[in-house]
Amino acid sequence: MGPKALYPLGWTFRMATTALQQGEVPVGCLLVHKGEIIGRGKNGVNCSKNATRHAEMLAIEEALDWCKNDNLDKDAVFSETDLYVNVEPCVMCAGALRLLGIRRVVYGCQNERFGGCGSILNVASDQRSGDGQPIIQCVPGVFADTSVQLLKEFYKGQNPNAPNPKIKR
Amino acid sequence: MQGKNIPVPVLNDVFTKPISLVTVYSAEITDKKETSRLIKQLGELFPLTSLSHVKRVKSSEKIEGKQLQIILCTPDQLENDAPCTNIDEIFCTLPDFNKSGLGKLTCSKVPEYQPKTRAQFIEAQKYWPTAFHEDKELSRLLDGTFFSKTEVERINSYMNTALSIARRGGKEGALSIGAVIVNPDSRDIIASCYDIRQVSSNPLRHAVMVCIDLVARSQGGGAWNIHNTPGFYWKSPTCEALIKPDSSSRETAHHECPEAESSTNETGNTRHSPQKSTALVDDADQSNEPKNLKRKHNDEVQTSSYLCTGLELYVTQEPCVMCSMALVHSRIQRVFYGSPHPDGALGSRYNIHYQPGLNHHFQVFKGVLEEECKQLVTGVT
Ligand SMILES: [Zn+2]
Ligand SMILES: [Zn+2]
Repeated sequence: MGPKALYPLGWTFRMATTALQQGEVPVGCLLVHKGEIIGRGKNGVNCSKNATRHAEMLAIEEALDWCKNDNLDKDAVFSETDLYVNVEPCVMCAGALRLLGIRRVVYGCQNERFGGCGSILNVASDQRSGDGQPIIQCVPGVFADTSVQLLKEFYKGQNPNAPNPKIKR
Repeated sequence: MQGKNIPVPVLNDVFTKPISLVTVYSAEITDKKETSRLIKQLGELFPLTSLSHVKRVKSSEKIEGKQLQIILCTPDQLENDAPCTNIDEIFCTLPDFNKSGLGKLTCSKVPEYQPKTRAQFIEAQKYWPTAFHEDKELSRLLDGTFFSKTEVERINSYMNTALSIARRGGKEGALSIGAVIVNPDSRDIIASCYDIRQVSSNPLRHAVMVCIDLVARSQGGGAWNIHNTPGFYWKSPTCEALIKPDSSSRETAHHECPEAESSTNETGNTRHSPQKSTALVDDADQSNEPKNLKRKHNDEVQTSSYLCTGLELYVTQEPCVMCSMALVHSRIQRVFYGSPHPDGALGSRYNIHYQPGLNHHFQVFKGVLEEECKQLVTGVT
């Protein structure tokens, strides 16, 4: 991938920073289809009190709405869509992306605690899983240092919305 | 062992797999008076650090009396890679070692790991004596006595609720998969729903994902606009908020809650209308309690029952990897499911509930009303 193709990952850092300011784990995510952003999401676990509200899940929902509004076949769209996220998607999100048949995942740093693209399990490219969907092409370690830096800030600053802070990613 | 209709634990295979063996060098003790000296000196020369669960000496009954065998060392404790054929080769670099009392060199198989279950322990003793600390809970899980008869009835009744909601889903044109999340201490149903992946525009709205969002809704959160789905239920957040604060508002709680609950028990699938919830909140706000204090209580309620901590899930079909990991994120305590699924992640494809590296593990039981749950699935496809 050329440097221009990595622009969206730069934008996810800005979204992640906003999440951090809102007391969420700093993760931002973009879904790009043929050069167009069709889904955006930042971590919203604390504000929804739902531990599954990861940036990827929110971005997916926006993209599904986009498909619906434009009356497009979602399977066809996702098979040509790339996801950009500053941290490796977790096992849950990797499972979700697999179910949707997404083409490619470009991410920043590894997710040592929950990663589903190799860190804990490799749901993204496990031939056996995913309802017969093709494996996801993963591009790891893009701007990894910046991602780690941002996460460190979260751990350092702690989470104002959670009196008993647990990092839910 | 396990009788019919008893929930089957989905255990880490370290508890169910056969024991593995490794080879060690050993010898018969021909002069029993030398035994304690040999144990002491061999323990210093060749400590069994990687096999600390294995006893140094094995005593076996023979026709001609008791026979003792002692472990000399493991092959990797010797510098020479080539296999030893006699006792002198073992001690060739230790000329001072007193070999008296030791018979011919033999190779013995010993258990590689400490047995974790009684069955593994019995198997291990056939080879060499080992230490064993019985985990009582694990033993009860394995021999099918973990749940009392009453508890099995309770489990089946919650699965029946999951089956009803699954059938309701089928009637609404959705997939017949039902999920119920329960507080086992209060016996309250917190949320129940069916799978809407096929009837909504979001293919990720599996029964478990929906149920988790309804639990969030019952705690004053929630993200999906699904509360008007026919048949869905979630416990009103206001009851919790009213019960929790001490003395002054507890009275109110007792007046308000039974009414709210009875309205849900009639049909078992009535939902709390948002209007009603708002009304209860307004009532509460009009109490004498200062507003800021009230707010604090609310926050306490929400954090103490945050997500699915301490809660149980009953689901008719084994959850997929996405849903299983969502349960990890939500800190569920226990999962009961009916029928397994080839892509399931709680025993079939993966074992997310005891996946190494994850910070939360939970108990899983399968085979709860399995026949009824299987019929649901074959009914749809
Ligand atoms: Zn995730
Ligand atoms: Zn699922």
